[in-house]
Amino acid sequence: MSAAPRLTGASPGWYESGVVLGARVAASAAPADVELVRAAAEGDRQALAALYDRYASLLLALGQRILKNRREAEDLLHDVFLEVWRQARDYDPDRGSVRSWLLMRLRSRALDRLKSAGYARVVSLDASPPRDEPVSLEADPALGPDCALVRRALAELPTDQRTVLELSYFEGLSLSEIADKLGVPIGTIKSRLARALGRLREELDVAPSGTLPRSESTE
Amino acid sequence: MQHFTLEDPRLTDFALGACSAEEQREVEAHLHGCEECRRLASGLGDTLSRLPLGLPLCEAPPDESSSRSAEGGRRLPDIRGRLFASVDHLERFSPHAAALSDALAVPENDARLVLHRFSDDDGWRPAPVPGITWRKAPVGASRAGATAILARVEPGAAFPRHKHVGDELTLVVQGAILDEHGRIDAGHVTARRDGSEHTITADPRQPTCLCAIVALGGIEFS
Repeated sequence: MSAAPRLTGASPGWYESGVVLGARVAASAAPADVELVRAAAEGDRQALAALYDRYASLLLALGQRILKNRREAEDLLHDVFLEVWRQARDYDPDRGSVRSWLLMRLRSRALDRLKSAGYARVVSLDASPPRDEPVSLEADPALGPDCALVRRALAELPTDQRTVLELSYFEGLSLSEIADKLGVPIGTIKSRLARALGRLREELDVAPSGTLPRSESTE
Repeated sequence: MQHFTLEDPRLTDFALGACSAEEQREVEAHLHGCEECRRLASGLGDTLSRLPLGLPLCEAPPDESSSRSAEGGRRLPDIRGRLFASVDHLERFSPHAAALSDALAVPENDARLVLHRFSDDDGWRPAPVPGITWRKAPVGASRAGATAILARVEPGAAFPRHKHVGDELTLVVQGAILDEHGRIDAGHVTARRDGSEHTITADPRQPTCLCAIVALGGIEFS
């Protein structure tokens, strides 16, 4: 654990989780993500349920974006949370937030499936079209402010930078594959990606209104 | 390896999971010993982990299996329910964790995770006799030198007569084992003492016998 300043008198969950949550969650004294993962590692089913309820929407959205198929994304969501149950003790808070860890696991498994032989055939045989479910933009009010911030930051990126970022993160293409696809030198791709990440970092480090800055205490 | 900068493509590739196994090992090794770079990598990972927040969020499948898709009224699978059914299945041997913890001399939670391995199809090797597959299990410091295995013994399969050099502990978690000394049912730990001999057979009327065997010494075939 890092020696980050701790809130007193309230759950530190909103900032330890790495998720900039709104006041609603901070006030409800929800357990921190890190505590939930620790409890799950000890066999606490309620902790897994709380993690599921907190992150299923987000993970499902990522799975569906990568796999372009709702049913496959749901299967993956199940598999990833079962993996989390078995391997919760592997989580190292020094390496990033719980959300980041969960998303990384799901993304990695999703890209593995996407690239596996036969995946395209499975999807094409599936009667359901891509994005076959209505989506709710406000599925999780706790994530709302963050979502708006990220959408704005992504929308403000130059198209060529956003394209590289999306091909890399959501399609899992290597930099050389992106260079081939776009017909530009790999050096250009590298610098577009670096610039996109740099801009995002700057934009997203600003806490949205209605949430507490990370360095401040509530007292 | 020199410190990373945020623009370093090796770090970006690492965060995106796009580097080769060798590059990944190199970056991991550097991060292990360098708090500054670990913080950089963690920050980059967190920036990337914000990207999915820009996606339209799907409604997570609800707890009850009451949701229907937009077309045709097809019932969506209840993922949360499925997840906990899978967890229950995985944990079905957990009531034996305390006994296995004693046998292996490991903490009870470690023993619980060892019991999960009975649910894996991977990692099992065929034993030298038909109908038996096995895999190694960890032992605690106070059992140093002991050999622990998990075994899956098909109904009726037998392990040939052998003599124990040192005591042997057997915990059955499913099915039952029969030998010259009697029967070991699920949930029971039995010690076969140094110098004793037996042939073990899985009860043919029970499902595949799943057991943990801790040999403090070794065995000799008669």
